[in-house]
Amino acid sequence: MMKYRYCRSRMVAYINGELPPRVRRRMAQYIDTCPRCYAEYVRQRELQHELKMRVPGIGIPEAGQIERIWNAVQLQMQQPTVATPHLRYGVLIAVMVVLLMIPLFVSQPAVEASVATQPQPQTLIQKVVTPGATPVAVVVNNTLELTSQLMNVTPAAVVTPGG
Amino acid sequence: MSEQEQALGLIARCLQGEQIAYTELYELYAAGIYRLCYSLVFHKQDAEDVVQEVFVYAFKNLKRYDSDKSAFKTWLYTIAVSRCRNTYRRKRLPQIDFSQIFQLNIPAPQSETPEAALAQRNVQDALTEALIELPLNLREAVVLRYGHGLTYREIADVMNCPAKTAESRVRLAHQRLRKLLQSQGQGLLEELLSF
Repeated sequence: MMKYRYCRSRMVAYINGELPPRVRRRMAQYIDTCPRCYAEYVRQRELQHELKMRVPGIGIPEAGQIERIWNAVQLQMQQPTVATPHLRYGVLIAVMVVLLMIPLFVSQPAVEASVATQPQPQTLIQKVVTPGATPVAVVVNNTLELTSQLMNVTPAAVVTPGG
Repeated sequence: MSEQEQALGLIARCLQGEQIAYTELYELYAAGIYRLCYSLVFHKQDAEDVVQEVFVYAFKNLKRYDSDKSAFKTWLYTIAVSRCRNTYRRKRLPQIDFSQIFQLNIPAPQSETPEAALAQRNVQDALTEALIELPLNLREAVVLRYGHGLTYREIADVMNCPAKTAESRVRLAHQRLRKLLQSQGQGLLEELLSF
């Protein structure tokens, strides 16, 4: 079985005389001594002979066919060659990418980069109420801010947060 | 004068602008290129189109042929195989021209009986059908090897693969062909091998 496997995988090369001498001697020995190897040798040799004989018979041109093709070749040769620019694929891809990116830059609102700011501490707003008067001052971030009508307000009337 | 020497002489004349040299160069290789193309695409019209493309391309690019790299025949075969692959890819399901296949003109011996002639025809048809069944790369290898007598080195150049790969493709094609012929009937295989 081992001999047969060895022979079968190398038989085509053996028949074509393409094996190194050492392998060739071994093959010849197997073919002489193993009937299965010999049968394989005969089959392959015959198939090869058939192929050599019959494959060249496939597609033999009909009468006038070669002349007909020649006329077509001549016609095509007479036509002026249209020079087509040879674009490299890389350049073509780069151009396509640029074209695809154009809409991203055109008619898009300008985006301003803003620096992140620290959030303000919670603002405590307290109304300073004077009887009979509208609110006149507020305390914002421990700062007295006057809004209007300061005339009736004394510093004592200002209530500070927590006070 | 060898075929290659003849081709080189004709190429030189073509490059000098001698129109008749183009005709002679075409006549030298056209039949072989047609046979090759037909054996690969198995369609008469497609094969004709490919042959036309091959020669138009070769003649327009004759200056680019480098005789140091390969024989002119190998260069033409490389173009032909490449164009056949394009045709094959365009038509995933090749339109087999059976009318052409079954009208193969095999010269029959004078003493041949009608029965023997029929048997010969059956064998040839079986082999052709088996070739159609082969994957394209194996078909290319077997056609170049047995149909055109190229060496493994030349097959490798044409198929753009290492020589060892070309060799193994021929071997694989052998195995597949035997299986395919056996699947068509043991009798047919025996008949094929008995001639």
